[in-house]
Amino acid sequence: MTSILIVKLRRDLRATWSRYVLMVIAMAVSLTVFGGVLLVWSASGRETRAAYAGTEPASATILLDRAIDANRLASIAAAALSRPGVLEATARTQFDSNVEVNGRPIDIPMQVFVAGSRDPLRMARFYPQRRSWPPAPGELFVARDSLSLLGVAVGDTVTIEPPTGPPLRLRVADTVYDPSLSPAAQEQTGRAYLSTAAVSGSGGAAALDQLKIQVAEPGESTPSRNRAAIVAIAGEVGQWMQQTFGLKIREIQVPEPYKHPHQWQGDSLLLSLLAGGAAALLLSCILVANMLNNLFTQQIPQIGIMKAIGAGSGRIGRLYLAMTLIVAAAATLLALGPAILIGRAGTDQLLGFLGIEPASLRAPWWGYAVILAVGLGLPPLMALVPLVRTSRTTVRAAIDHHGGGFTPNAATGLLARFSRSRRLDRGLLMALRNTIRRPARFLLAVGLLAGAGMVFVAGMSLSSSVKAVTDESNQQRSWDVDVQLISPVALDQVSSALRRIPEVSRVEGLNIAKTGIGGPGQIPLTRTYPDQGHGRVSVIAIPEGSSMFTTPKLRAGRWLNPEESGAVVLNQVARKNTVPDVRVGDSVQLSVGGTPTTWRVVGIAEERGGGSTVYTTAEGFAAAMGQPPRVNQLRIATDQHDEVTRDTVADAVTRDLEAAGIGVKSADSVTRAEAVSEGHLGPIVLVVLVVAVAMGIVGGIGLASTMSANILDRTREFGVMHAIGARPKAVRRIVMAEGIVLAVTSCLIAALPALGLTAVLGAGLGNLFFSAPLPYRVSLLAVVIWIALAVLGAALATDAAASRAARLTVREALVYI
Amino acid sequence: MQRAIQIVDLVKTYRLAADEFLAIDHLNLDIGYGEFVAVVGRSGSGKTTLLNLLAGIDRATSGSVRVADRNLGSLSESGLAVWRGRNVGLVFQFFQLLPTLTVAENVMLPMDFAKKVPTAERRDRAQDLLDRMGVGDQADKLPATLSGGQQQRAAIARALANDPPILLADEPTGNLDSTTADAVLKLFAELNSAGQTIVVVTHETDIRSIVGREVTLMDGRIVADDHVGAVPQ
Repeated sequence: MTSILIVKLRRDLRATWSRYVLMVIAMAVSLTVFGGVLLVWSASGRETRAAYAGTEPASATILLDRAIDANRLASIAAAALSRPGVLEATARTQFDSNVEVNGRPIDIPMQVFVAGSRDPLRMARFYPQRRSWPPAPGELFVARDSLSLLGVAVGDTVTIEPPTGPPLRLRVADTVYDPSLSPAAQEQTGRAYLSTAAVSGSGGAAALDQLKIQVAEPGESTPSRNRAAIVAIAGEVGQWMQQTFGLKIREIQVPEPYKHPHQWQGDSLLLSLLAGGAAALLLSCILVANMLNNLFTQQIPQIGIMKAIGAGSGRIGRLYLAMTLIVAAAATLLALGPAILIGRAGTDQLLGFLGIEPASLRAPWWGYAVILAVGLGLPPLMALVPLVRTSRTTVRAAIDHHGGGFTPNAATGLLARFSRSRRLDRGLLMALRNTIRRPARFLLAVGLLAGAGMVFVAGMSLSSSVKAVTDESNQQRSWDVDVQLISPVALDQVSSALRRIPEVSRVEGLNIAKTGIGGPGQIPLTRTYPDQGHGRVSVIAIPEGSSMFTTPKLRAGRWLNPEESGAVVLNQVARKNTVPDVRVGDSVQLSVGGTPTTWRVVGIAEERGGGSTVYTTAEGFAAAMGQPPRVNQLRIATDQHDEVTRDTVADAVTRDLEAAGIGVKSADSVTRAEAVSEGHLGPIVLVVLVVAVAMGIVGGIGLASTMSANILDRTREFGVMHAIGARPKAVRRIVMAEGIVLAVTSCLIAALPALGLTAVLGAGLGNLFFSAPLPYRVSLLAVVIWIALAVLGAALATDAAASRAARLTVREALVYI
Repeated sequence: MQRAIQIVDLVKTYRLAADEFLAIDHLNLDIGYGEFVAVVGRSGSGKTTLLNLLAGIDRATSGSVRVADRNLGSLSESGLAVWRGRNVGLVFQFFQLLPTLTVAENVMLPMDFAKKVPTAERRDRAQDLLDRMGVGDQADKLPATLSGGQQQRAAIARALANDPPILLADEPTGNLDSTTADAVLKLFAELNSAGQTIVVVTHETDIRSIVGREVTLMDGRIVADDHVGAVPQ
């Protein structure tokens, strides 16, 4: 490039700096969105994996039928190390408890994890924050994310109820960070950590019932990630424990190796972010192509002059490539800082949702490299076609260039026919024709706005779909209080115990049992995680004529007949996680409470947010277990549905049932279940909304830049209009009408793809969440917001350009090159 | 006399929506070096089309155009740009100076493209040309600050930047007042006196007095070819 061309480049940039600034800002905004999302994605993915892997999760947990002396299980754990493939073994236990803080009962249950005093925490680790393991007898550690949930602080006294022995009063000595668990707030459950010393201090020796092992495949020295291999080794250890030590194994729990219990949530959030990043990048591409196309088009007359005085296409191409690179570099520099800030803040927020404390918020180097590559590489790439086309413009075409197409296109021809109608406003007709007279620019601008609108509406609709899952669950929850009993009892016994509570209007009972499939040596095998909740499969025995149970939608087969025996309906999650190949009509062997049972699958149900569930009738379940029908869960409807009544009834139910000799594990208002549901899906809704709003901003900037370029390109035309008597107001009206026509067109074009995108994203995210598509919802609010934003945005975006066009003098316009 | 321009059986048609428009109709024309030729005719007679064909801005539908010893039909777009930079100076009705370059930089730009003039001499040559055109004192100003006449003089200086054998001008006085137009025409006459080959497309009838030859076009054909002044050396 010659020195004078460099001078020209510099002065061109300076002469129309406002336009370049707008272009740089527009590119920077979309690059910031893309970059921020990419950095969040890369950093949080790394942190999530590292945090979970850092806890050295157990490959398997072998759960004994009854707890045994802690020292005995510790010696079995030591002996287990000699079994083939066992890398590490340790003895643990856990229990759920009601909790009191400083003598005040708390409405949130506590999950208590117990490890030996000498447990080196080489496996299934958790991290005490200030103290080291173990806590002294009379002390416990509380998970850091449970403090605010329970309203407890270090130094407080907590009373918990172990499965055996009297309640324990313990001092909270420290907090614990445990990234292997899902966040306490999402589960609405507190977590605490005790040593066996604290339990044995309450009288009697500590008893443990879990042998946790970490296993490796033959010839390997690192923990296996192959679940089938883990199942085989853990099965062998289980059988060895049965044969050598005469222990009864209740089940072997093998969750998906190295997958956090909320991996689905992390994956969904990251997928949403990635989809947002991809959408931002796509919009960025359209935006860049649009703006550069406008820029080059405006330069066509000058290209003609340069060619007329001897410049070749290559030289001109290099000039505009340099211009593109300067704009790209400026946008990249401008975007880098905010992208890093957004990346760090977003990573912090996202990891907070997942309950993970980041080791570093810094994204990996390749994240920054990708931003630089996209920022510096994308504009030249997008510029390639318009740049080559423009630089090859012939002198003749350049000199004849007047900002419009040479030959009217079909749409312009059609619009010209409308001019015969006296009823149509001439200014509006002119605006319509102007809008479509440069088809490439029109399509790019409409594509950009439609793309942004599509992602915005689909994003908001998706969040409505996610919310609909919670709403559906809440709607189906036609009762007010959930009660869990310690052991199953006859429903009549429960009903008579509750008769004296006037607020109770109806009581229904279910029997819910944990189940697994038969593993090696017929030991029940499950995918249950260490929190004993995630990954678990439950059998629910439905009483006949239940009004508090909504029959789920069936994917295949039929629902259960009244009092039917030997038949089950699996939901899609249970089938996927337990017996993925089973079909309607097949038989499945399930181990229920240690009893092997055989069932015929009569249907596959589709549920969202319900976990892995196997449904049978109360009569069928009783027959399979060889017991009369009993219930261990109660659903109680109250006469008033306010929170005060629900809490009063929950307390009264606990009191009256216990007075009748029926042990109550928990009695809570359904609000808690609703909070759990919302806690799990809330972060996804938020992320999707953030992505949608960012797309809206990018679209608005695109519209502003397009309109600005449109005006510059037709400066001479406006001069002619002024010359033939158009008042500034008329010019302004035409220009603004063009912007609005563009916006409305984009809304019309976006309508169908937005519906399709909502369905595709809903299916993708739904399958990730629940192995079923999300309910299809179109957010009318989003549609209204977008149309309003697009039209108002168009009016505002074109206002500056329209004012400039209106102020142009005839002379200024006619000498404009 | 050596031929600067040789046109043989030239046809140029434009495709319109309905049919074709014949702009140049089997035209033959020879112009020698040192001639000062005015191409005149009514609007739509094919004058500007002819000039565009001579400058390699347009391509012939058939026939041949040979200018400064090159058959323009054989050159690519890039080849034409290089050829134009070295052999033809173009002057437009609307001056077409690049708005973000100073007047001197506008004149130096063709020298940068053609590389005929050594880099160190370009600024001096531009200043010299501008002085000759009477706008030397405007060298460091942006075109927008100059009057129409001054801009056209600067445009002529730019056209002469690489000392092209042929100067082509399209309505060079069409956008100027009569006094300024006379001055510009006088400038052309002086250049021609110094041996410059000039072809001017114009509506102006006054030009007869200063050109050596007047070619009149009608419907794309030459209807008159008059030697109205002195035959060039």
